[in-house]
Amino acid sequence: MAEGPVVVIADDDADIRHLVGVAVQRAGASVGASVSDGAAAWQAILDIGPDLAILDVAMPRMSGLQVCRAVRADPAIAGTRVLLLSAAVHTTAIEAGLAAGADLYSHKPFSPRSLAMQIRNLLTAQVNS
Amino acid sequence: MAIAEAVRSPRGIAAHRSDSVSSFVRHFASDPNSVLERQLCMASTYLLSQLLFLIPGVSAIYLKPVLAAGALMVAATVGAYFLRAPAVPHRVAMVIPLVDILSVGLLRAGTGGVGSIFTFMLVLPVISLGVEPGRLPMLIGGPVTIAALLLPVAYDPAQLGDGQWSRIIFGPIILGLTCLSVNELARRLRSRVRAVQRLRREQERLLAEARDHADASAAASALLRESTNELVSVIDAVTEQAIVGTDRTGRVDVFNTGAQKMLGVAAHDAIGRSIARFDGFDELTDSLQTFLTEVRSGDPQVRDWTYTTRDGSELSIKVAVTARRDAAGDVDGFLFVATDVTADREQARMKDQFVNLISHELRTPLSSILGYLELLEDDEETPLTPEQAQYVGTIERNANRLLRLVSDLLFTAQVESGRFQIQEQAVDLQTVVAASVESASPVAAGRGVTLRMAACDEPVFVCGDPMRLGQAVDNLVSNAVKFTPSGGRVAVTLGTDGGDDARALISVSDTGVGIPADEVDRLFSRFFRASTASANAIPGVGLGLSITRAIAVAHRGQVRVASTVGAGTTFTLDIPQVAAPQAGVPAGLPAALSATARAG
Repeated sequence: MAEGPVVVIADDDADIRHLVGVAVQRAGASVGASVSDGAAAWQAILDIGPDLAILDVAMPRMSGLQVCRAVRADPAIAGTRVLLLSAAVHTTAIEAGLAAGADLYSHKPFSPRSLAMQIRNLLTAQVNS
Repeated sequence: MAIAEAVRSPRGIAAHRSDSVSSFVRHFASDPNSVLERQLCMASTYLLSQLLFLIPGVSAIYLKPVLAAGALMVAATVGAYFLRAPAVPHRVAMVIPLVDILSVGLLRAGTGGVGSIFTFMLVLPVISLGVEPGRLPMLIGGPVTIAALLLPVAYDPAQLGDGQWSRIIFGPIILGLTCLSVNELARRLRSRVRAVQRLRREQERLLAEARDHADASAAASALLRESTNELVSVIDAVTEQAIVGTDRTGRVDVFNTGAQKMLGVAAHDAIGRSIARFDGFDELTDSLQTFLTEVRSGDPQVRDWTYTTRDGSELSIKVAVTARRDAAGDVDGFLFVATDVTADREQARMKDQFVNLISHELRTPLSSILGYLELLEDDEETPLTPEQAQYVGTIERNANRLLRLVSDLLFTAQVESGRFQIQEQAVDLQTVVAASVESASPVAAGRGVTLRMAACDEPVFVCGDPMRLGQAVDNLVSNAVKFTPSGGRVAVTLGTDGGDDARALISVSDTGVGIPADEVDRLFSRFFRASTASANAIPGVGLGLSITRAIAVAHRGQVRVASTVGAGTTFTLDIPQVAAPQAGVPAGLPAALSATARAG
C-alpha cells in the first residue's frame, strides 16, 4: 500500500487521467483509483474513502457535479476533499461547481505544476482541519 | 321622399283641384302660349254662334257690321297664331281679346243691338282678358267693352230710347265684375301654381341632393368594403404568425390563417368564443388579467408561451399583445400576434450543445498537449537539449495560440446567444492593467517594442468581472504590441475623466501601422481584419476587438478608437467608475477562483 494521502481520479480521457496522476504523485500523494466515469468514481470513493477526489465535470453515467453532491450528502465521507476539473469556463459553470460543494474548481487546460501545488494545499488544509 | 309627400299633401292637392272656370283659367293662365288656344276656343264659339242665324227670326239687320265682325274674328285668330311665340310680351297678346270684344260688339250691332242674341259671347273675351296678369287688361278692357256695347247705338240711336239704359249700364258692370273675379281667381291660381312649381323645384333639388348623398354613401361603403377586404387579405396572408383579435371581454373576432395553422383551430370554431376558453391557452390566460392591465396602460407586452397542440406536440411561442383602440382612443379590445419560435429555440439549444461539445472536445486534447509539454520541460532526470527545448517552446506557443482561438470562439458564441454574463465585484483597474502589461512584456521585448505603463497614483475602481476586464485589456495591449513594428512604442495609461459621473479610462497608444478611416466602423465586427493587418501578415482571426467591445458593453462602457495610418492608434476603454470599497472587503478575485482564474 502506498504511503500518505490517497486520491481518486475520474476523467473520461485516459491521457488526462495519467497527467493528473503525475500531479498527484508530485504532490506527495498516491492514486487510489483512476476511473473513466462518474459511477465508478462514486463506487471507488465509497470503497477507498480517499482524502481527495479529482473529478472531471463532464463524464458518462454520473457527472462530476452529481458525484460531488453525493459525497457531500453522505456524512461518512463528508470530509473528502473534492477538486472539480472542467473544460467549461463560463461563470455559471463555476458557480454550479462550487454550489455542489466542491472545494476547488479548476479549468482545463491546467499546468501539472500548478495542479500539484493545489492538491498539496488541499491535502494540507485537510490535515489542518 | 319627405318632399314628395309634402308635395302630395292636401294643401298641394287643393292647388290642383278647382271648379270648371278655374280649371279653364288655370290651363290658360299658366301657359303664356295659350293665346292661340284661347283664340281658337273663341273662334270656334263664334263659328258655332253663326248657326244661330238658322233660327227663324234671327237675321242680320245690318250686313256690314256682321261681315266686319267676321273679318275681325279672322284677323284676331291669325294675329293669335303669330303672337303665340313665347318672346311676345303678354301686354301685346292682350290685343287679341280686345279685338274679339270689338268683333262681338259689331256682330251684336248688326244683329239687333241691345236685344241681340250674340251678347252672351262677350263673356269669353272678357274672361280671356281677366286671366291676363295684372289690372291693366281690365282697365283697357272696360272702355273697349263699353264701346262694344254702345256700337249698336251708333247704328240706331233710337235704341237708347227703349229704356235699354239699364242694360248699357249693368252689362259692363256685370262683365267687369266677372272679369275682376276671373282676374282674382287667376291671380290666386297663378300664385298657387308658382308655389307648387317652387315646391316641385325644391323637391327636385332635394331629390338630387339625396341621390348625390346616396351615391357618396355607396362610394364610401364600397371604399370601406374594399379596404376591409384588403386588410383581411393582408392579415390572412400572414401564414407564419398567428393574429388573434378580441373585443374588450376577450371574445375572438379576428383569427387569421396563421392562427389556424399554428394553433390547429378552425376559424369558425374560434370566432365568437372567449379566448379564455381555448384548450391549451391556460398558461396564457392565467396571467391575462395582470398582463392586459399593462397592455391597457399603452405598452405592448411580449410573453413566452408554451402551447400544446391537439396532437400533443409542444410549441414555444412568443406572443406580443397590443391594445386595440376605438375612435375616442379607449381600449376596445386586444390583438395577439404570436410567433412560433420552437425551431429557433431548438436551433439555439443545438448551438449551445455544439458549443459545449467543442469546448470539451477541443480543450481536452489541448490540456493533454500543454500538460505533457510541461512534463517534458520539468523532467529533471533527462533534461531537454537546447534545441529540443526550443522545439518544445514552439509547440507550446502554438498550442496556447490555438487555445486562445478556441476560447475566443466560445466567448463569441456566448455573447451571440446572449448567455454572456459577468460576475460583478469591485475591481481595481491598476492591478488589472499592471497584470496585462506584465504578461505582454516578454512578447514586446522579443519584438523590440517599448511597452510602458504610465504611473497612476490613485487606485481606480470599477464594478465588474476582473477576469473579463483583464481579457479586454490583454486584447488591447497584445494588439498594440502585435501591430507596432520593431523600434516602436506602446504606452498604457489609466485615468479618470474627473466628471460627476466619473468614468475610468484605460488608453492603449501605439506607434504602429494604423487603421484606414473607412475601416474604423467595421473594426469591432466579428472576423473583421483591417487591411493593414492583412498587408503586414499580422496573425489573427478578427475576434479580439469584438470580444473587447462585448466586455466593455457588459460593463456599461464602450471602446473608442483614434487612428492615423502610418502614425499609430489609440484605443480607449471607458467604464463607469465606482467608489473604493470599504476596508475588509476583498477587491480582487473570490478565494475559490483566484488560484485558477488566470491559469492557462
